[in-house]
Amino acid sequence: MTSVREFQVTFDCAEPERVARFWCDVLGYVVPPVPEGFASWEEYDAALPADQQGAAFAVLDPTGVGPRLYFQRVPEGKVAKNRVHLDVRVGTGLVGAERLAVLEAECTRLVALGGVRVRLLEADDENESCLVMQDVEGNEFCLD
Amino acid sequence: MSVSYQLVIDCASPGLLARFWAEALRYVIAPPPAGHDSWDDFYRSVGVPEEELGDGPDRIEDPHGEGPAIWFQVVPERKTIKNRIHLDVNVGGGRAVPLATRRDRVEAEASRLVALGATRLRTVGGEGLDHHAVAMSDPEGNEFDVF
Repeated sequence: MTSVREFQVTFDCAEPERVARFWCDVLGYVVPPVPEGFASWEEYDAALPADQQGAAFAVLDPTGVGPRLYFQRVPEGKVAKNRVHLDVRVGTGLVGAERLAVLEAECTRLVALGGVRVRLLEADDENESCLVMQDVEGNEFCLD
Repeated sequence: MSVSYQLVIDCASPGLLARFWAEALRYVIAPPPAGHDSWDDFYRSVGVPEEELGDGPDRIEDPHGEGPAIWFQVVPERKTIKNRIHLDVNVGGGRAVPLATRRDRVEAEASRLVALGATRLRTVGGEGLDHHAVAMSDPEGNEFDVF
């Protein structure tokens, strides 16, 4: 079987590191090792040309399985609902009140980190319950 | 420990995009849940009305079960502006690979994807840069890069 393509998911942002660190908290992703010769990412960033400082930040799945997430600064703000989003699987296999409790607990944790609760979509015949949120720059995602 | 997630891409024609992205990522069309011959069969069983069926497969997955699954969700509204979240597909192999080799790989893949319905938007890189990428869009205009 051929191997799948390696790909990354890129988010346009105003403040890449801030959004990146939020997603580390959501997904359990980590900041990559600092390049050789630098004590911190902050020091690395300060050595870049002025116009590139703070322009991008990447985070990784520590298990090496999930795609890298890459956050890049763009001049324009978010104006419409994103057509691409993540469904974060915190309630897999759970139903009913037990599922709702897990989704709500995770939502509460993420709100404390700067996420925004948008609305709960309750279970119906077709779908299990799902909690819609936004990250620290308004990018929609779901806890399901 | 990382949390599992799937990517969701809003669209008008899920079958069109599912087949395109399965080719682009070397993913496979996700098989329907056990006991169902097709996704339409499954959706029918959970009460989805007939007029919402017949758009073809809407889910793709990593055949090795590692990368995130992708669900192409039908939405009523059309794409109007550049997406703020996009995929970058690595076909070049990274900076350890000589630039000329990466360029050949990227160009060959870009041509293959154009034949599958993608649009070539522009070349990123050039003279003096150790980078060659092609900005493209999928059959519904979702931007992505091949690098």
